[in-house]
Amino acid sequence: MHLQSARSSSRVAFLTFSRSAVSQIESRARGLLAGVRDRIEVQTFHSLAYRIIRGFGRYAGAGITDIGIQSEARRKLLGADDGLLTYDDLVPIAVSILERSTRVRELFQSRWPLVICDEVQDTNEEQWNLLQLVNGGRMLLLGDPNQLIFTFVKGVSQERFETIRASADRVVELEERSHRDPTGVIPALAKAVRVRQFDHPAVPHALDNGQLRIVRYAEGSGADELIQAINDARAAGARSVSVFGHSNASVSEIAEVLTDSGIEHVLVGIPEAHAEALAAMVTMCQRSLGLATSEETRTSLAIFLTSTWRGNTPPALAEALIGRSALPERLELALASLDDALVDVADRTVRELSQLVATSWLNLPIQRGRSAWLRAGEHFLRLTRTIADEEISDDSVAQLGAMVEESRVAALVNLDMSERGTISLMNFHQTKGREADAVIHLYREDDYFGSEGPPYENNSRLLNVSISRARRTVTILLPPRPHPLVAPFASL
Amino acid sequence: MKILQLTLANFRGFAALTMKPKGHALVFGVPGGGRSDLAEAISRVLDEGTLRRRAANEMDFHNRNLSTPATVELVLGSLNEDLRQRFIDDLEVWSGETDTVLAELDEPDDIDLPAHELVVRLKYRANWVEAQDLVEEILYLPKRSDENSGAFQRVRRSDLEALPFARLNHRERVLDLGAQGKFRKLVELSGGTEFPQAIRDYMKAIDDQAASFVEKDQVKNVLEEVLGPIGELLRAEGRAVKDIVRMVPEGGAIGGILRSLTPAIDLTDGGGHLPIYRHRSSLGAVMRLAEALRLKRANAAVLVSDNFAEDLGAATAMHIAALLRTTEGQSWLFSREPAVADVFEPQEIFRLSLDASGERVVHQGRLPTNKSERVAWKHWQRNILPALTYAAAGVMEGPHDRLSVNSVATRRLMDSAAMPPGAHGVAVVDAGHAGSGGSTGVPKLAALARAMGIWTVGIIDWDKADADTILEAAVAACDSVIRLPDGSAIERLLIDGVGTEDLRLAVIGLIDVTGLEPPWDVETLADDDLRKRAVELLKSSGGLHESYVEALPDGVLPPMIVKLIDTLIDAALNRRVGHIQL
Repeated sequence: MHLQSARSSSRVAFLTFSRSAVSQIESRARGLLAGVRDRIEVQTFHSLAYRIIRGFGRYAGAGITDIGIQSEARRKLLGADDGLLTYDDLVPIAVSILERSTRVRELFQSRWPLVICDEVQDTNEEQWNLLQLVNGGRMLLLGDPNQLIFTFVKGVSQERFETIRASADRVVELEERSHRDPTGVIPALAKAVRVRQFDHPAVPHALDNGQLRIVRYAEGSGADELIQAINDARAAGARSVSVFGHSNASVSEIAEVLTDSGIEHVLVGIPEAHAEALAAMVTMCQRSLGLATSEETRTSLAIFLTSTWRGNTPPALAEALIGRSALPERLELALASLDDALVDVADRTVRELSQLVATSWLNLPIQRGRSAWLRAGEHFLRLTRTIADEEISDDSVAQLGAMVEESRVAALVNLDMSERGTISLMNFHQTKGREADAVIHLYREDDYFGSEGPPYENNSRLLNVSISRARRTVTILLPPRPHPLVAPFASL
Repeated sequence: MKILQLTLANFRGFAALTMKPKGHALVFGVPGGGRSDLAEAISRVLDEGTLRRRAANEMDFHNRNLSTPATVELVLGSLNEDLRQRFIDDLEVWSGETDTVLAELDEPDDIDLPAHELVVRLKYRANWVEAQDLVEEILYLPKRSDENSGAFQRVRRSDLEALPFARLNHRERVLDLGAQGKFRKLVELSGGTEFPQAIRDYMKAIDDQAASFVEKDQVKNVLEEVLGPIGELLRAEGRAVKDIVRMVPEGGAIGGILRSLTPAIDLTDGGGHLPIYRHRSSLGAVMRLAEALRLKRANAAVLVSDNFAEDLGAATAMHIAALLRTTEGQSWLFSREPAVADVFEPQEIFRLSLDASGERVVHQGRLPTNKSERVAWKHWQRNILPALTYAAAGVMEGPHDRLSVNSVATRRLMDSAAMPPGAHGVAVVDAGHAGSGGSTGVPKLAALARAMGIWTVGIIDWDKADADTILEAAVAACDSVIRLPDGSAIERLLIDGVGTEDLRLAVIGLIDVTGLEPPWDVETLADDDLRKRAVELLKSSGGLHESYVEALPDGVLPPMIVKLIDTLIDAALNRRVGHIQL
């Protein structure tokens, strides 16, 4: 293999869009890469950028303390903080460091004589620059114009992809074969939908063998039908279920429905919830020792709550938590008793404190965010295990803070952590690198598909991608009067 | 790879210490100055075996102060590509102008300045865990660690193993094929498949040979007799003895078998192939160094030699030191052989000593920057180097002064077993070699000696017109200054206080030895004339000071020189500051 004969200092960079794609690649390539695994560095664009900034940002005027990343939720609730970077700052800053220091650029270029980029059709200008700057020799670009779905991001376009394609020394067309569904039924279905040939034989074929189900709901939001579809899929043995809603607003509503029905699920693309839950847990530990005020504890909870929310404005309860309006009395009481418990536990061990904070959200009368908090709580307990037997002290809390901060930033940068549940909920644009046994699309009457008219080229590509995520079955839930984009499903 | 900076805190004999070697490091020191602690400190960071062995105990904390961690931090530069990639997330910028790791820069373009270099910091930390009564050791990367909160980014073992480092001490085996052997490492570094195959062949052959023992009737029969009564226990029924019992060398462990191989050398001196320890002791030492040299060449390693040149002659030691110095990487030679210093630049030479409060301190030689310093550099080579392993030095005006004092000290040792200055850790050096010598040479040489932390006692004559100016300059340059009595140079001191007849005998002896024919009759000279003539005689023939001391009758020593020696020792040991009038 190429790597085995190459210099021992060289490695391969594999760049992709999401952390979940990273883990998919890692698990699939395990056998293939035996012996050279540690020399293939699979990372997202943002984690690469963060790595460069963390390593060399201090030599670009960024200061020596670790680079703080500001979550979207914090910005939404409390306003922008100039001292912190946002997710969107990462790639441009990394690019600037690489452009301005030859030594740093050459360091990365000699590290990666081969750079592989997945989903290159969806790279934007900055990402493409970063790719060029770290590449020390050859690039292997994997792309599929039919999966171009980030057209709403500046610089991402069909034309760009064509330019990239034209610049390649060699273009290899891969034959159509899906590792997800080796029978080829679902890929054929996805392809037919992309070109809007709903009468293509692949469509009835999928319907006939049960891999495609079309469900029309009569009224309401389709919630009952969705729950039914999830239960059916699980009963049929699906170990993972991906539910796609069209917009953030509809995903938010679906989340509430599922929460109310007691169906545990995670919202994909809200790694912030994981990160902010961890941050709130640390604040609670500080509160226990009097290093944080009860107001600071409430603010951290408010940020967490905001991070579980997809709307553009923070939820009312979060506003109330930071004192902008009155809190419901039950919540006020629950918060007071949490505060007492935190202060009371101060003379015990880190273990007891950790357990208290890891489950604290569940004792508040707030439905939202429970599974995210629980998952973060497990993570928190894992992180604190090594110092669990220590007494609670300024030292141990500081140590704990440092341990957690690392994971918090990783969660923000890597877009992951929260996505490991069996049922995941996301919008159509968050499909990158994800796959599930069962895929469910929930369409609503008020779905807005932009200004695009027939033949809906961009939106059909989105459908193609989201359908092709399925390993086994696709269920399409349609309202009484579906949008023309998906209306042909109704007549099948 | 090179160590650009070494920082110790609360580690063994050092409360705190920082060293910034320029190139290589040749370390001398007074006894107890900490040479072996320093060698150990480097190993704690670079030797991949340190953490495995759990080397630390409570004696590793300075003055057993267990409340503060004992730490060793190294800044490593001249990193090869493999190391830069391994530590890519921990690289920092070192400024060759300020000799420091830069915490930050405003403009990323400045990373590329010629004076800047990408380096990595590694830090060893031993921490006393009160509750468990043990020392917890970690090796971490300070850049990504937060020492205050205890979040440490540990060094990965595979990265640690990749650091090119070798430490040699005089107990080490040479041409060792065992897993930890330098020779083995060299063979492996050279690549190829023959060696692994040779190991397999050797193991098979030795296995077969060992197994064949039980097939020999003489052995087999006895085995059967021994095992017969416990046959049932061994499930022996129907099985041949050789299937039940097998002989294996070294418990069958490859490691043990390879370790048991030792080289035998034939020097064609009629002894045939003999193990190294049967040859003269320097052979092992030279071979050990040759191995280390090869290893250093192979991977530009940091090489630490605990007792460099211990078993070697000065000439061989210089030769090997010169070879080590001209190979890539960095040598840290801890030595007691001043001759080695001849092949090093002054800024590569370090001296460990104790300050007035007994704390260890380090001094580093300085590269001459102007003409006057270059002249002084000559002093350095001839005079300061031999003094580096002493705590103090008496700096005299010229070689006759030094020879006079030394020969009196030696006579005194032989006559009455009185310890000479050297035995008190006081070297006697002179400023004569620079050509200028005399009273102006003393301050120059003293300044160099003091810069290396040597307690410096200037010894000056009082025989010039501008005596006050000379004294002033000496007091400014030296720690203590002994001025000879008014009107005296060393010759007066040799003669003053010696009885007339003893002096006459000595002068007669001198005339005998030298074959001189003075125009006066020594037998008839009166005391005054005798002393005057003796001074003239001492100064003739390029100086007869030593011969004069030899020529003094048994039991007679020049009392003023004895007084000078005692004053010198007192000034050095008791650190008497300023002018002392003899």
